[in-house]
Amino acid sequence: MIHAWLDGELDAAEAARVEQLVETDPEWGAVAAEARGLVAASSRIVGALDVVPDGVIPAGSKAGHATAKTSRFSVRPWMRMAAGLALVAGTAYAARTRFADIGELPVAKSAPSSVLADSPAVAGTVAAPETPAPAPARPAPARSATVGVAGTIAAGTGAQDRQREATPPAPARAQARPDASAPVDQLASAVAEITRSEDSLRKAMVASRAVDDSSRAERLRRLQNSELRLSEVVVTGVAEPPRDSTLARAQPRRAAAEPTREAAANSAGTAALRPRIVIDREGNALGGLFNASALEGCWRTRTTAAVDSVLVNPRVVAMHRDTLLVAFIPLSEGRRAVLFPETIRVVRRGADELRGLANDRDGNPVAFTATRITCP
Amino acid sequence: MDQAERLFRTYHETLVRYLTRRLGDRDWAEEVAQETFVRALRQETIVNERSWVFAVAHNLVRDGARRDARHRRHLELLASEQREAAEPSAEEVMEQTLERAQVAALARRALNSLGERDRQALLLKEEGLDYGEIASVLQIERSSVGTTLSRARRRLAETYEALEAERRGGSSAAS
Repeated sequence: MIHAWLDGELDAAEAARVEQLVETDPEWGAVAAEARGLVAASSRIVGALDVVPDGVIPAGSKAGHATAKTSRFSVRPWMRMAAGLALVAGTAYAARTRFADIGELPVAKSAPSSVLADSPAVAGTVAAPETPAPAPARPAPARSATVGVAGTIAAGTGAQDRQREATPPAPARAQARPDASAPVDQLASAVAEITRSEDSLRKAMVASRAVDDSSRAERLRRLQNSELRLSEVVVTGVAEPPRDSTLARAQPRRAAAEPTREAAANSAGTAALRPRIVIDREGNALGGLFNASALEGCWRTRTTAAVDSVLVNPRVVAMHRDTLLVAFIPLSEGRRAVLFPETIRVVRRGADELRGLANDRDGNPVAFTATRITCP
Repeated sequence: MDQAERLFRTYHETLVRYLTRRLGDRDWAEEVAQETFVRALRQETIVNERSWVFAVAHNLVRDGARRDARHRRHLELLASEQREAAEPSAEEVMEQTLERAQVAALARRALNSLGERDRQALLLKEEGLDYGEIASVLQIERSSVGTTLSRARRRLAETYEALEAERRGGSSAAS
């Protein structure tokens, strides 16, 4: 009755009667107040549903994108990798067939180095400098093993890969990597979540195979290729090399003082992310693209914790749904790098501003804001 | 403006919102809404437009779910693929704050905890349908709509509160 009255569904006489009761009888008044609260609460809760569906998989705006995306078929890392591998295999097969009688296999000479270098599984800095380069046909497993996290999120962008090619890896990276702890744990956690999602995706793929018309089969083929992309492993970028000799000298001291934190920070790296399709356990389709290189630069931070004001190059550790996990790298020498090894949840990102939560040394959450500045 | 266009302009937004809330998927909602308006084109006379539109959408969802649950998953994947093909904006991705996403997830769980009829009644009411229209869409007695809504609102609010308390407890325990 009260709900019907609040919803305006009673006729005039009934409504007047209820109104009078509500005004005069405290019991009716209390019931009406509670019902008003329930109406408001349910409206608010239902309204909250409008947040997710159109935001999880972003719409096709092109604003603010630094990623150079030429075509679907030219930039996708998995396609380059597949093309590279196919080319190598084809060349090897042809060479084996053609040159078998003269006992020479010119595969090493004729392998398309540019294609291989462009492949995300071969290019980049993850392959440790001191580690012998893996055979071209088996690049991905070598990467997984190096990073120590199996089956991470997605493949890197071609632009980022090229950028990483141009950046020589710091020697400290490979040394520190095996001691990775906190950020890698975070990453591993995110990876576990994504891996579970992959399982759901595979099940969805199997279910979808029942669809038998040709156009659907074609779409399905592309979806299955998308699945391949999920299983690629590209975690790159580890620690930035010191910006100057002073910082280079400071690096070993800090590593000695805080070996675990240093190692963790060095191993945090960048999980370069590509568009992906993930079905979560509730059956929701998730996807997204994050251009990690857009974060590079210097940022002035404001937090309630004691921390250096200038940090550099937030590194994307992982992205799960709309939570971006990043680790900052401090710039100045005499800093207390409270945020340095910590994983920061960025809950809002603008072009020149990040807002989020970090943890201080005691593990307490600390709100922070970072604003992009010109690097000193 | 012809009849179909007027119907579309009047009800498309609210229908898609209702369906999105109900299905949890914008693409699927758009698809059902389109099919609803296609059927409206074929319909010669519609007595109560709003309840007709929502009833057709309601039945399309119900029949579709019965016919082939896998089709929905497939459409979701295709929709994802389609959106992926377009260049998304990192700005848009990050506009979704963690807090809002968590609230939305809780809301979805709370809503899913309701019985089907309660959930539909609540969603239809949120789109402004009156008790008669809700009764028409759900094919129930008008007199039971108030009770249904009352029960749905209470359960939704209580479940949401419980989930929220659980989340807070979990996060404080984690920190």
